[in-house]
Amino acid sequence: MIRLIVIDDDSDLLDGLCEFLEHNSFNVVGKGSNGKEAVDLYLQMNPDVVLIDLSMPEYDGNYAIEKIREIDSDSKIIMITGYDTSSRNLPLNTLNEILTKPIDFKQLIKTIHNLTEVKNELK
Amino acid sequence: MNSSENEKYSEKTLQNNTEQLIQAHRLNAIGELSTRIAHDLRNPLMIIKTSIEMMQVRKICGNTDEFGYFAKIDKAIMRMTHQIEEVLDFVKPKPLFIQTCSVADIIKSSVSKIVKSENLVIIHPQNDCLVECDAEKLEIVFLNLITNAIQAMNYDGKIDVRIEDNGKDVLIEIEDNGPGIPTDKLSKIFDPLFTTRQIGTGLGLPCCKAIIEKHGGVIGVKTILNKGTTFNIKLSKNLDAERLNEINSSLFLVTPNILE
Repeated sequence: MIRLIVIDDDSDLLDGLCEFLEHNSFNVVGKGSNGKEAVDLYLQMNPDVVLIDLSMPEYDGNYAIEKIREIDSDSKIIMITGYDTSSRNLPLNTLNEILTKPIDFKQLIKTIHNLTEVKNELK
Repeated sequence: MNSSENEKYSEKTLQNNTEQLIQAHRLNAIGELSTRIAHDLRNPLMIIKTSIEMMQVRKICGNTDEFGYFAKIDKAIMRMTHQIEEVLDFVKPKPLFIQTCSVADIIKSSVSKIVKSENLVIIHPQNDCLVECDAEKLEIVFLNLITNAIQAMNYDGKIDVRIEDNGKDVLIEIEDNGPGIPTDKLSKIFDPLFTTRQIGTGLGLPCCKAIIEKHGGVIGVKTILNKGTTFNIKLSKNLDAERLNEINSSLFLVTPNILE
């Protein structure tokens, strides 16, 4: 089962997204509400995929992505954001994928599978 | 020109430049504000979407009537999402990402995103042409034009999409057999915020025009009342790099351009 951590500061969105993922046979091994929690969860759980928001209080998505990439350059990170994909705040070159809210669920599932297949092939 | 005329000329130029600068600042502020509003609306939209999805899959509400309500909510979310994107495309135009693409493939992708009905026939182009363009942006154009046609025909009619290879250029035509556009409205259809529909933003066609013009192309329309409307787009197959730089760095302007 694919193991994920999900990070978003909007608790209703976070809960709903995790419920959706679990219902679709993904294993949500951790959820957090800022970039610092994302890094801590990554270290503790070593997930297959990180789903993370960009704009969060104190430590944002950019902070987490930078730290997680330092820990594991091969980590698989999907950003889920309300910002447009052309926004200058987005760290496009360090992301595996970016999905705009409200996300297309089929696309989300496909993206997670595609990323983990690549990872498994490399292993 | 004598010194007094010179002075007047300089004063007028200065005034024009100042007005342009204020206008550019205003546009920039509107752009920033729209981005912020869009961001803040997308989170609650996603919560609604996720909740509806979970209610459906968990069969919290199971009878047929309730599924009808879900479908309506889902459609409303799609509408709001589309309107946010349309506003953002208008106020924050993005640089083009140019690749050589098949026009038929872009049209096919646009049509796949359209909600169809039983009484609607969409005839795909018989031929194809490779064009240097931003496929994502052209998809927005075709999606807008085909959706407009469907709505004008009230989901009942025929849309014929044609591609004509004219050597250096390609001509794309989207023809419907809907009610046509009345003469008094024809000159306004590319004006920002002009709409005949209650749910329209009035930004769809101005966006289409801006995208086509960014590609150095031309968009026009021919219409006959009670017979139908044809939108035609002319694009160069190969983009001039210098022209592209110029287009990408220019300010966003929308002016009416009706082809007879």
